[in-house]
Amino acid sequence: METERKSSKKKQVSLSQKIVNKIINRDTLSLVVFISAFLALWQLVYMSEILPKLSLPSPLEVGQTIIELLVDFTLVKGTAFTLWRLFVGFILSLALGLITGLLMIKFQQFGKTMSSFAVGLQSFPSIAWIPFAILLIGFNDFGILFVVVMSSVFSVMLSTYSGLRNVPPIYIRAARNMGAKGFSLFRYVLIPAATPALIMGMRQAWSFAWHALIGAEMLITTLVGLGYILSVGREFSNMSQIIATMIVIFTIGLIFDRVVFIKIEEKVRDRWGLNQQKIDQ
Amino acid sequence: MQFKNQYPQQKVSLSLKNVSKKYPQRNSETSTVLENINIQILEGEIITILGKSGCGKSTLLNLIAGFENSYGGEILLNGKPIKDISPERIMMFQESALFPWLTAFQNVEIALKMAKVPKNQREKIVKHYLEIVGLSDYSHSYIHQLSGGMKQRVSLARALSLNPKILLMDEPFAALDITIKKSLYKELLDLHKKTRKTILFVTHNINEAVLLGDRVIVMSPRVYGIKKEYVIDIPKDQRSDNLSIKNIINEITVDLYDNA
Repeated sequence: METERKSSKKKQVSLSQKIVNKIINRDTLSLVVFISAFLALWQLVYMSEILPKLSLPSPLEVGQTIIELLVDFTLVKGTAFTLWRLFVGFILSLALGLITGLLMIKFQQFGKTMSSFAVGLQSFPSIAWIPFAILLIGFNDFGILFVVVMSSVFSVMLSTYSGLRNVPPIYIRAARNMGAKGFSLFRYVLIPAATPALIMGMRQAWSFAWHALIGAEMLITTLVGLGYILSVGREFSNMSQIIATMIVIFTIGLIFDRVVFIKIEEKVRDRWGLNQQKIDQ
Repeated sequence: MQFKNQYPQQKVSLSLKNVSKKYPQRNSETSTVLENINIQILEGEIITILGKSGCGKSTLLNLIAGFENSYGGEILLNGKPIKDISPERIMMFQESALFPWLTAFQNVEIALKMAKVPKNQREKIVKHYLEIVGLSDYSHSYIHQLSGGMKQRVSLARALSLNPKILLMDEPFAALDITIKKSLYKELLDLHKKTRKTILFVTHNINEAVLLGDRVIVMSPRVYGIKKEYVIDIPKDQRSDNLSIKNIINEITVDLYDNA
């Protein structure tokens, strides 16, 4: 027991180190260089006065706006609400998508029909749900959540369905031979075997949810949220505010992708032995 | 059936009586794969089934494992007709059917979980069988970190941990290179000496069949079943570089590749 715990602890440490190394290394450096170059170019365009100052504020002005919006809590509150909606919508999508995906496996004919519907709905533009959501539900959080869920649930559903269907038959045979059936087959074999596919689906669902959310916040006015700050910026022709909010949106997306999803994916790929780089080392 | 009962006090483990298997085809005809198969395996015996691909040897193993339920004739284990898939008859596959998301230890443990072995007994059993196959040091390695030979040893530990009445091996060593194969033959035979498990071993490799089997059953697609049976009554530890073994191998080679 003792040695078991020790070795697993060691593994965790090395895993988190790997992640830290992944974040603070050449990749991060080149990102910094890239962003600096971008800012420099922006400054040059600003100074050349090709565009009117109203259309393109300087990086410095935008920086000031970010600080102002942070200090008066507009951005903090907006970000908090947006993330809360994202979180709730994403969890709802995961739950609904997983359950429906499992039902599609359980009832084959339903699965066949539903999967063609889901493929169609997956590529349905999220913004096209908005008028429907407004009339059906109204200008409130539930309207926004509806759009978020409809935009991301089908990715989860389809990845659950195809992930489970593509589990190698030999795993299922071996498991049934060992006495697994029904629920234990699901729990011990099908779900873990489908995990890499499920994670890919989750990642895609997350990015769909994120796209949909900002769009919905802009059009379904609820007086709070990053999307709302964007639309206010447009109404008052406040380009600084628009760019400042865009930067926040970009940063949130980057953080989630780099930290949350990379962490989960790394862990899975590591276990499955899918990490080519690590095998080579 | 002409075979010598080497352990006369021992019971019949598996017996196949007039087993046949036909697959339906599109044009309402059927294609015969197996016909009139009669085999008796005694407890503790290693029987090897030898045949080229397409002779139905894997089909036969699938029937015994219970993966396919429609067939003619009778399959009895310890005198009782077999029903469905059961951990009593464990199959070990050619490709490793181990689960890549688990460590070696967990791969054996999950078999016990599936077979509903009480939690407090599992750890001991897993450790025991990993030790038997010499993989105690690799308990916490994930499957992709193991070599081909090690993987099959984990498979073997997993199969044995369920204490099956018969072990069905479907070309388990086919994908391994010759030196690893040889050491695994030796391990399998040592293990068999200790546990006296009944083993039905399917292969297309003549040397393997003759080295491991108490009896070698040669199958042929032409007769949809058993062509000939050889009793190898030379002690298993004296079989390498043995002249009469070489003669048997030659005889079987002729048998297997001769058209008749």
